[in-house]
Amino acid sequence: MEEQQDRNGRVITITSGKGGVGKTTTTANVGAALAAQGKSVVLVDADIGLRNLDIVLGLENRIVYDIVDVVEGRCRLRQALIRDKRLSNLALIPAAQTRDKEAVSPEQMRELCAELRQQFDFVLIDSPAGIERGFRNAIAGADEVLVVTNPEVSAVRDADRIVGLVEAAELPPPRLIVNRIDPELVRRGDMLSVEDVLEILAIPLIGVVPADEAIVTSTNRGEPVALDPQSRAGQAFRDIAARLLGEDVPFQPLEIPNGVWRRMLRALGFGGRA
Amino acid sequence: MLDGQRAEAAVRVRGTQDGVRLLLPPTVPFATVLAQVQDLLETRPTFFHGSALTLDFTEREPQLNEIVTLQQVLDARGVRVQAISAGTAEYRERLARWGYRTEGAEPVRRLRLIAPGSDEETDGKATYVRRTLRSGMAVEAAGHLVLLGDVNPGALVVAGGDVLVWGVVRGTVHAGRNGDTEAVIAALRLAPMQLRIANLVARAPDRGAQHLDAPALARVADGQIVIEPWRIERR
Repeated sequence: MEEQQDRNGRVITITSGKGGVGKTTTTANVGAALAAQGKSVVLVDADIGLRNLDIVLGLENRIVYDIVDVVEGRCRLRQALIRDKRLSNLALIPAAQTRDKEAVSPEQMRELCAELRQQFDFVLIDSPAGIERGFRNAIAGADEVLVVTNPEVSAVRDADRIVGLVEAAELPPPRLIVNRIDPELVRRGDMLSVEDVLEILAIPLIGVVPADEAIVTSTNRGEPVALDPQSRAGQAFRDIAARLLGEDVPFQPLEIPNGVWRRMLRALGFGGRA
Repeated sequence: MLDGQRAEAAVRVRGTQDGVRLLLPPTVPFATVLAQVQDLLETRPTFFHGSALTLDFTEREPQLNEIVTLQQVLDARGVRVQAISAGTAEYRERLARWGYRTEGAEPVRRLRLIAPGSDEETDGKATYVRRTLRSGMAVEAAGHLVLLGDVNPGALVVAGGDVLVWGVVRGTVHAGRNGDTEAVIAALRLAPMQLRIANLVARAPDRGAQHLDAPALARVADGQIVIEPWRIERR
């Protein structure tokens, strides 16, 4: 990361409206996938007071300074940048855990983004849930927005609200990530399909991430699945990164992995969870 | 029930434009608050039954267990909690995190287009809107309203006259809001959450809604809202 040259990077905010749909997981994995492609990437945790992104990346023990320290001038920007332990061109600016969203203003976020984009190819901002101050902070300095949703009516409703707010902020139409889709449930008609979601939201699709138990393990271990070549969800996140880089990647067919096995296991009382 | 000088320590009921509010006192133990609310419900059952009210926590620090308990008590009496108001941004955020709809937290202006002219002169005058209304957006017109785009779930259209949607209606549309039962709602597809014409309301069935996959028109016939397919040859 040479300090001198201006990289003129892209600032991309990952948001959703509803909580718990996978914003933080998406931010960590798309960031890791972009970094694995050789791009320099910084992830910014804008969820002040509910700091999570550092945990998903397994970097919690390295935090000394956070985003509020930066905007309040208690440290220099580079002191708050935590370098990832696996990828040398991936960095994190953690949220403050002991403060709240009011600790940062949209104007300060814009300044921070402007500074970061000089040093990195990609600035990914992990937005908090909701439509209040935290969300407005998260989109303040953004060039583009990715909206994450789950194939559930309430998540889609909130995503729709967010799309409207993004449009009102005069940003380009956000692109959509449908996270945690279960092909088996869709096949049985028990889950909204990607097409159902797109019919309501009517924005461009940039990724479909299958429900994958590996996510739970990887999140708890602090190891992004995007770096696991075996993981289907990891592949989906790598595809999103490739599409952000302008590659024309076809969407993976959502076949049911080991369908017979899964049904047998279910019949035997294992893995009954939807 | 309570004597005068302790009034500020009591749960107060206030009727407002947006419905009934229950103002909850600051320092009183919750058991007292709960008893007072139960008292109110008992003494004025018809006033509360079937209503939707706002729990006003502007004076009291909102606690999840208190809200949930109040909700249960109210729910048992057929009273719905439609929103909760809080005194500070921090509390509003807390409520939002718990999944409650808060009041006064609207950070972005609602899209509100009002056609020029008074309500009387709706004849032949229409407001034209060219966009999809997403969740949380509202459009209001004194006269007729023509919309090119969809009305998504969570969006609201209100007009003094007819509403014509060149798109899919999945949200709520109110035509003839000043009582005009001749008003109609027409759309390329009607799959609404709720339709209102004059003071009549038709809502989507709770489950298994079957919608016409064709242009349709809603109007008032025999005192209720009916939806019929739009047949080109008939006209």
